[in-house]
This record gives sequence, structure tokens and C-alpha cells, in this order.
Amino acid sequence: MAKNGFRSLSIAAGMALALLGGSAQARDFGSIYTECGLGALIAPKTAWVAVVTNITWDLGSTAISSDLSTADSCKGGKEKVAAFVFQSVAQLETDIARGEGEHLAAVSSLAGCSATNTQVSFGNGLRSEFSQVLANPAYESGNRMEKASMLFDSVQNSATAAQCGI
Amino acid sequence: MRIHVIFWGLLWACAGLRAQPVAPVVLDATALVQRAYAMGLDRHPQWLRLLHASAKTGVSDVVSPEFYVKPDSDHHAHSELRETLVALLEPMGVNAARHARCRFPARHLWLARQLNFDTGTIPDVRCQALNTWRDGHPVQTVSLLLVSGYFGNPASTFGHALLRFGSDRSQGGNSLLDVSLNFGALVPEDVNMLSYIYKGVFGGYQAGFSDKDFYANDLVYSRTENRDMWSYDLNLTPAQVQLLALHVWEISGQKFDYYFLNKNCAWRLADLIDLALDQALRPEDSPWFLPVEYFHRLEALNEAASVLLRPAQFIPSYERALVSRLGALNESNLALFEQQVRNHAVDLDDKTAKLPSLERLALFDALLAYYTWKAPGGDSSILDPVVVGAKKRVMLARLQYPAQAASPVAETLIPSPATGSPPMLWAGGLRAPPGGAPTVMLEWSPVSYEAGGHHGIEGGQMSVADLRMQINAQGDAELDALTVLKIRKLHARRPNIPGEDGMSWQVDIAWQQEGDVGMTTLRPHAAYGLGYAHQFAAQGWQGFGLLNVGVIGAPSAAYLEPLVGALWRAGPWSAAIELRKRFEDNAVVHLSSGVFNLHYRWGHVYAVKLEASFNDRPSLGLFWQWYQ
Repeated sequence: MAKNGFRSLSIAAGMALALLGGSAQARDFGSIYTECGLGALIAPKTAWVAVVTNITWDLGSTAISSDLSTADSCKGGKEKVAAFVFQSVAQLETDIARGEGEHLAAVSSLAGCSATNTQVSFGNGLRSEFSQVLANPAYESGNRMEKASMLFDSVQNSATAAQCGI
Repeated sequence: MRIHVIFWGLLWACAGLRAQPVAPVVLDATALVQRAYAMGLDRHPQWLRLLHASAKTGVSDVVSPEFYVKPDSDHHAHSELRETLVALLEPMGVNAARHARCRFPARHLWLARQLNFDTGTIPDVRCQALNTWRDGHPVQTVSLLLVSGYFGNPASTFGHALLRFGSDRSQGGNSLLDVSLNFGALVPEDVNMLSYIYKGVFGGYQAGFSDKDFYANDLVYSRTENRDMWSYDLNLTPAQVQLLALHVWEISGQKFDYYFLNKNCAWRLADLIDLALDQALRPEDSPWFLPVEYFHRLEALNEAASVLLRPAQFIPSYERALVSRLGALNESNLALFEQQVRNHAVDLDDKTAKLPSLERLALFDALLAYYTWKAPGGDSSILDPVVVGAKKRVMLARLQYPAQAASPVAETLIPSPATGSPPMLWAGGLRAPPGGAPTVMLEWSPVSYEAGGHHGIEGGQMSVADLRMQINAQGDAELDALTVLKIRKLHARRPNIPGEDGMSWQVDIAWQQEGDVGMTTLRPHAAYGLGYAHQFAAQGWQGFGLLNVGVIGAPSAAYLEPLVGALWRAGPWSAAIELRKRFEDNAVVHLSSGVFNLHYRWGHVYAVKLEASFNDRPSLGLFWQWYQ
């Protein structure tokens, strides 16, 4: 069963790469996700969690995990943001719309916006970015990964504009 | 996982944390091993906890070869002590990650403290992966979380426990970004439910600790399964935190054989807390061990030794938080909320334009919370497009207004189940029919959360293997009832979430005496019931109505059984009444029955119960109950 699971995961990952290949970021959400695997991002010490998590805890499309779970390239700030955004899509979009909430505070922290003024600037920028994202029909119909990818880009753009330390 | 004790740097300067010897002893492995054995360290409770080994056999429960110094280890605490000491004193070599000082830093720390030897900083600075792992998050607090029971999965029925390493909130730490440690079985996908239960109970699965960012567990427990949690913040010294954190490094990813009834999440996490506290709260052996049992022991120890920083903190499920938001809406806005969630197409701009600012925000927040609750995963491809579109419209409407918090919503604080009665019941008393001689009654159940009991289970009832015996004046003992399993889940929240059926349900499998006095028959039955419950405005009152469908034996019949009941609670007092009528498909006379219970509770573990039964064997009983 795990073998079949990995085959389908690989296909999903390939599709995800193709879908997200056009992103402007140097290392976009799709690359982070497929190279690191969700499990490796949220449970870097426990290799089998990386595998199990990717198989059983994703609610939408998923990606492969590999022995990259310990790679340094999966431990940076962007990777943490990517993992958090993927796990928290529904909660994060709600908080962004409200302009406050614990998920917004968490992503602000992960994006390196620790000072009060940068937090405010980041939050306002993210609301503005998110308004544009919502206007895109692809977001409404997107699966979890596609939504997470767009939200991730918004977070990165807002953090850069607010001069946060992501 | 990335753990970093913020005071780590400080700790290195403190005597005792970096095993600073008064007089360093020779680092001769043979001599050190001999001294360790002479001190009885191979049988020391802390050494056994570090190895997850039984005090009776000395054999570790960990099945992963990587957990031992040598892969062909006999898994025994005695030999592992020798191997560990020898390995710790070996030169580091080029592959530091494989050295015992990097693989077993908690063992290293504890042995160095006990034997007073010094091999340098613990953990060794050359343990790159370990040091990177602990540097990721500052740890300010260690909390054990009690997660309420979940009836969507048999393994979660009795609750769950997980460990959380909290960061410094005063430094902007966010609880979602804390690190948590979970213990669970590795169960394949799409497993057959019967096989799942069989292997869960009798063995066949492996399990292990896994480290995860807390938001991942929060998504599962609070937002998807809608389970309340209670955080027990432990009062640990820096040295205790250090030992625990280093042991987490050792144990993460290692595998155990899994047994749902005892070698479960509560058992394994209890090992860790017992290690940190250097206490034996977990029983050495027990055929079952529920998560709440450990929390009862923690509460009891806290009364004597202040092992908690503060009383358990309630963390409401996302569903409960939503209900609180609805409760804060005024009548007209609640009606508007209901209108929106029933047809998802209200013109919110028009309807909310004239609302005062805070009311508008409260309404938007409630709607956003509702749609987030409906779809916590946020994947449009597997959601109702109507719900997805509705949430989008609400978000767009909300984005037109500034970022501003609505008025804070007062949460109803639910006390921890561990502040109620412990689950195991022993009871004795007298029961007599009107004008008749009393009989002695004895009752025992490993899990007895009675209707009206003080068990901390909100609006519910659960009994497992509840055995009730009666002994007559001649000394003859007879089975009065055996409840194999009874679970009643009442959904009685005020207000209800509009558009949700909020159905209550129950399962009941039991043998019970029926018939006139002197002519009784032990009849088995199994029934499933559905219905509704209501939380009355008057404090402490609930009512419910259920329709049971079941089968019964001796003689065999199918039956329908409507029942109504009410619950009341005030301080140490509580009461429950149920009235029912059973219609058997082949019976001439249909049984009407009722039962009324009045409880008075003394402290955590004692109660008196007055029970009046109205059926074919009416009786009045008085019981002394002891919960353990």
C-alpha cells in the first residue's frame, strides 16, 4: 500500500511542479513542498512521520517525501512559512480577512516581522495582497496546495515590502 | 524537532547542569561500569525510565534497534548500562553523529550526574544535528495536554495526551509555533475496522513518538475533530527540562509495540513526565490505562508537591469557540447569521451597511469562523462549491473594513475531566422493593461516567464492563446487570449552530435482569439510539429525547424504545431522570420504566447515590460510591 501511495504521491508532486513551475520566486512553494515534503517540514526529527504525514494527513493533493527530511535546505525560514501556510490555509485566510488572529500572528512571526510597526505593515500589505488573490478565480477553485502556493507568495511579497527578515 | 532551552547558555554556567564533578573520577570504562553496578544504577527507576524498561524484567519496550548502543542488544537495562558507559567514553571519531554522546545525550547527562564524571559539555558541541535541533525553538514551559474523547475513532474514545514545549510568550512566542510530541500507532491507510480494533487491543501495530509543530496537532484535534484540550503546565526546574528535552531527542522516531488498552499514548507520555519529575505516577503494570487517569494522578500529586505552575488551562475546540461567538451576537444579527448560513447568498454589503461597527465585525467574524469550521482543510477541490463561494464573499466583504478586532468573546470555561471523579467505580449499598426486604448491591466498573455523575464529561455518559451484583438475605449472589458498553453523547449547546442537525446518540449493550420479583430473567440487549438534547436557559439543566432501536434476547425480539430524560447539576449535587417505554415486536405487554438518581459528591473520589427505579421491579436504593 505504501508503495502505491508513493507512486500516486510522485504523480501528484510532478503535477504540482508543472502547475507551479511558473512562479517568480527563486524557490517557490511547489519546490519547497516537493523537495522537502510536508512531514519533513513539520517533523524534521522523525523520518517515518515525514512519510506517514504526507500519506495520511493531507486533505488534498500531496507530495513525496524522501530522505531530504534532514537536509539543511528544508530548515530555513521560507520552508517554515511554507509548511505553516499549507497546514493553515483555511485559518490563515480567515485571519487575513479579519486582520487579526493567532494564525496571522504566527505567520507574521515566521516571516520575521517581529517589530510592532513591521507587523502592522505586514498585516496591511497581506490584506491588500489577499484581496487580489481572492479576485483570481483560480484561488476559489484551487485545491489546498494551489491555495497555499498563492498565499505563500502573498506572505513573501508582504514580508519583503514590510522589510521583515524572512 | 527543534528544541532550545533559552536558559541553556545560562545552564552551562550553573553547577549541576553541565555535569560538573567536585572531583573528577578516572574515565576508565571498566571502573565506571563496576561503580555503576555497585550503585545499582541498572535498576534505578530513572535509568529504567530512560530506557522505557519494566522494573520487573528490566527489559525495554522499545523495539527499534537504533535505540540501543549495539543493534544486537538484548534490550536489557543491565547490559545497556554497560554498553552505554563504554560507548560514552570512546573517542568521538569522525562520525560524531553516530557517537553515543550524540545519540544518547539524556543517558549521558543522567549517568554523568550519578557517577560524577566529566566528558565535557552535554550535549557535546560536536553533535551538530542535535544542537541544530535544540536551537530551533526556545522552550519556556513544558505542558502535558489532555485532549477530550472523540467518538469518531475507537482509539480516541477515552481521550488523548500530548506534550507541548512552549516558547517564551513575553518574547513574542506564539503557541501555534510551539513544538509538540505525540505518541500514536502506525496504522496503514484504509484498514478494516475489525482488524484495526483487534490489532489495537491484542497487538499487531507499532507506535512511536513523533515531534511536530503544534499547529499541525491543533489542526487535527481542535479544528477537525473539534476536541477540547486542557493544558497542564508543569513546574519543572531547568535541569528537569534539560533532561526531558534531551530524552525527547533520543526517543523521537523510535518504535514500540502498541496496545490500545495500556501501552498507549498516556502510558508512554507518562514515562516522559515521570522521568522529568522523577516520580512514579504511572502504574508499573495495569491491564488498562486511560489518559485521564494520569491527569488525576498529576492533580493529586500537585496538591502535595506543586508540580503544576497553575490550574489546568482550558483550550476550547474550534467548534466551541464558534458557539461562543454565536452566543455573543444579538438576536437580529443571529437571525442574519442563520439566514446567511442556510442559503449562503445574503447580500452582506446591503445587510450590514447600517450596523454599528462592532456589531458588523462580530457578525463577519462569526460567519468567517463558521465557514472555517465547516472546511478546516481549506481544499476547494473536495468542498461544497457553495460553501467555498460563500466564504469568499464574506472574506471580500470583511476586507473592505479595516483590520480591527471585534469585541472579545467570553469563553465558557470547562473544567478538566481530571478535576471530576476518576473513572473506576466501586460501589456498595442496599436496595429494597416497596415493603420488601433489602438486598445488598455491589458494583464495579473500570470506566463509569454515569448520567448525573461528577466525572467532568459534559452532557454524556459512558460505562464499560459495568458489573452489578445483588446478594439476598440468604447470601445468594446474583448478577443484576452487566453493561458491556454504554455511550451516550448529548449535543446540547446553547445556542446551536444553525443548519447543523446537532443530533444526540447512544449505544447500549448489556445484560439485565427483568421480570417480577422471584421470576426474573437475565436478558441481553443491544441498542442504538438517536435524538436531540437541549440546554435550558436555567443554569445546570439539560433535557433530551432519544429513540432506541434494538434487539433483545430471552425471548428474542426486536424493539423500539422512546425515552426522555433530564439532567441537573449544582455544586456537589447532581440528578438525572429517565423515562422510557419499550415496544417489543412479539410482546403483549410493553415495558415502561424509569430511573431517578440523585448524587452528592465528597471531594474527588466519594459520592452517595440515591436511586429510585420505576419498572416491573420498582425499588429504592442507597449507594456509597468510591472512584479510583
